[in-house]
Amino acid sequence: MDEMRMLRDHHDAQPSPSADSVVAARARLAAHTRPRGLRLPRLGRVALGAGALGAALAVGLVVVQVVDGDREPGVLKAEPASAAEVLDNAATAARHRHDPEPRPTQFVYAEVLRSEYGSGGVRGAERGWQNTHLRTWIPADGKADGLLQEKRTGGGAPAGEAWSTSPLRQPNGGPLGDPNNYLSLDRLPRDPDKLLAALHRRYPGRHSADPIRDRSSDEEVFDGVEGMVTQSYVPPTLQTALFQATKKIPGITLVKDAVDAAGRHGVAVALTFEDGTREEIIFDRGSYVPLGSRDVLDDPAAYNRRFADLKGVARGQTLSVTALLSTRVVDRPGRLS
Amino acid sequence: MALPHTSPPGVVRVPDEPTDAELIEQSRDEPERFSVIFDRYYARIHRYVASRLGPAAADDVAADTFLAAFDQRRRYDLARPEARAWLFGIATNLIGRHRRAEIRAYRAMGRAAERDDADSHADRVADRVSAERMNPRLAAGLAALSKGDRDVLLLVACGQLAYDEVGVALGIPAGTVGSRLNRARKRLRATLGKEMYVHG
Repeated sequence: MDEMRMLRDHHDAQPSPSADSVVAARARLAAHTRPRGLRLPRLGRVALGAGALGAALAVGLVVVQVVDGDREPGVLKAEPASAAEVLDNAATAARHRHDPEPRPTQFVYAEVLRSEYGSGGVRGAERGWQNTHLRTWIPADGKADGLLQEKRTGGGAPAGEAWSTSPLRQPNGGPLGDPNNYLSLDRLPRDPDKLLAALHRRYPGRHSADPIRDRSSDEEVFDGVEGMVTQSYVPPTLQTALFQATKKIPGITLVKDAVDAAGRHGVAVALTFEDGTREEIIFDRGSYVPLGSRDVLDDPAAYNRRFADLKGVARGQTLSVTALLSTRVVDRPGRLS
Repeated sequence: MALPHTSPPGVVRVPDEPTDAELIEQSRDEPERFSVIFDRYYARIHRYVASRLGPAAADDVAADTFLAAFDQRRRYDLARPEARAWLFGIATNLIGRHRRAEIRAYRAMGRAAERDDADSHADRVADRVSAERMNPRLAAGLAALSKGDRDVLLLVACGQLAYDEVGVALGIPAGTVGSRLNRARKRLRATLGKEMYVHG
């Protein structure tokens, strides 16, 4: 019996919910869905914005001021003064980049380094860094099997460990349908406002009935942009629009020096989440190419109110970091040309 | 963004019945329509939560899942006819609040099985598929996984979600789904060790 079967059996052995449980849950839902007069659905977001701003001020980060400079295209300042300026520079730089425009049957190859910090806080969990080297081939149209190669590097992994290779496909067969395949990315609007609206639909907030919310839509959108630009190939015109849209996310901050998983220093645009972690998109200082991403423990008290796995870990600890080493368009999975 | 979508095997919808997406759209103006979504999915969500947190916590978390889903119904992607992945994602998110309880539940389930070490092999095999007992090594392996890896593993193994659905549920790319699943399975197999071969 393999582990998937064992897990499935354990799941299937759970009893059905009792009749009492169903009745009680249905009654709670009915009470919850009853109209309660006028609501102010946007109020929460205003409160969040103020909180994020307050947190940014408290830790001494530079708060974004929206600057609408009439910068000449291609002239990139060395020392950006705000997150908005970094994003302007990145948007301008992307506008001048060539798009290889993969055909639907081609594959987009991406090579990523990822390191994750384990606090060892949960018994049995590993302490220290786990480093993984990943190579993915995603079909441009999402309609064929993709391919994943990965191996552990450093962090106690045996030297010279071989790549483990596995197809990326649906367990029951059928197309892969990665939401970040080239064609689905290419369909996103290039107008920054329309794009931002599309991103909010693509990455809705994760709310629960509990007053302490898990993820706002702004946080999810920022995280979604981070995933697109630091883990996969994004058409340059879309990159330009993405960076312009990201400027409109309230609470973004500038981080003057950040290091990616390959040890490359850059400048970063960041958002501190309600859970106390700060997510950063790191850019090269000269070319403004996205280098990678980093999650940092920014507010341990906020984090520890929610989770127990980082007790005693100091503020500023990097929790995970990635580096996008290369992307290219290739004809077949497993090949580099 | 409309992704190709297939029904899980065994699910046949009567043509006249509205899809989940149609119901959710109607519920934006007629909230009571959402109760049909509840009726379709409550037992499935409850079972999934019970397998991770135990049956007692499952009552609350499964109920909360539908309250949270109702609050988010305006943001539901109507291009997806089935709400399964969306609901499993919300449930998984709520389970994340109970990380410590989940780890404790696995330990308890592992210990419950261990107490019966003296029993016959057949009894132990039966235990493995009983609700509150779990192969201790499997339990320890699950407890040791990172939350992200465990979420992907259990959405595939227990929720029976496809890769793109897991991606939708957790808001991550399919490549990440694949790599987390691989890593989780590899670690579980290592924890299960020889026992896999003895009973395999």
